[in-house]
Amino acid sequence: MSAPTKSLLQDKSFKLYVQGFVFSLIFTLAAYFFATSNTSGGLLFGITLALFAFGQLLTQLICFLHLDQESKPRYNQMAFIYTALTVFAIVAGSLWIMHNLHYNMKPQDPNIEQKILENEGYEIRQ
Amino acid sequence: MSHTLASTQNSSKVQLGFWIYLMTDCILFATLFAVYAVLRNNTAGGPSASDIFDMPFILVETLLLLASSFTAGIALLAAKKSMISLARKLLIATLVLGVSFLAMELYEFIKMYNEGHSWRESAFLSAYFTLVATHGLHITAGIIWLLVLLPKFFRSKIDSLTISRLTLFSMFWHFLDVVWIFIFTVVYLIGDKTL
Repeated sequence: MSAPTKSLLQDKSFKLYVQGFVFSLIFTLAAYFFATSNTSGGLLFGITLALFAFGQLLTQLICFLHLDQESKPRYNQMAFIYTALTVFAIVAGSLWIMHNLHYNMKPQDPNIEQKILENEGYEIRQ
Repeated sequence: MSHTLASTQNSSKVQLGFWIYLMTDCILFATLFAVYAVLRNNTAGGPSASDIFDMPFILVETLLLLASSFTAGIALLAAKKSMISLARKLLIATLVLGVSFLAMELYEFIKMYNEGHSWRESAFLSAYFTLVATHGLHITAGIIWLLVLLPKFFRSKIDSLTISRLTLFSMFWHFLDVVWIFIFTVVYLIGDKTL
């Protein structure tokens, strides 16, 4: 084995890349087989998939983008955290607002008044 | 290859600038994800996610992109250690994997279009095509970038500017991998399942 090859294989970031690749494969395959074997969905399904995606995200940020190895001042990390916050506001905010709009749409369901009364916690007096 | 302190500081500034561009790109993708998440069940009588997505096909696509992200990272490492021939081989592998990914995505788009499921059919399909094709356009830009970069690795020596450019390219490529992970999860794995 030549000297540069040896120095590459022993490099700390080489090991990190290999670890990252193995972890990302595990997360991808686990998420894939979990999702394709599940047909019903549900909250638990969503949370599990979100956890797999989060694990995958951390793997990529640490092993491939080396975001944790930054020295002070950590401008890259700050930019990332601010972006994560913005992304959360955009996605969660849109879903929330659109859900609320949908809820207040002109009703197509003939029993909608009854349903809204029940959902809003009113008692119906005849 | 020795880096003076000044050039190291300069390259870290360039990397920060590029990182901030990537973060703004992240916000572009976030808006498209928000649109998709809102519209994903508005199929207007057309097909839903589970009707049109071929899951094993998508898994292969994802594995190709993951592998290309890995080869791009190792190529950067090899280039930093002046192992030019190894870096060249790995960059060619990255290119082949990236082009295969793009070809699979285009094949999927064309197949859907020919089956009559274009972006005009429903809000769900409009949002789907916009989100996934925006990622595909970024991949296309990355492939062009790589094609421009690759001739530098057919010389006997590479300069620090090339290393700096390769660093930025690998950041871009890893970033696209991260975005794809979320497309894979949100669009393909969750599909039309209610949460």
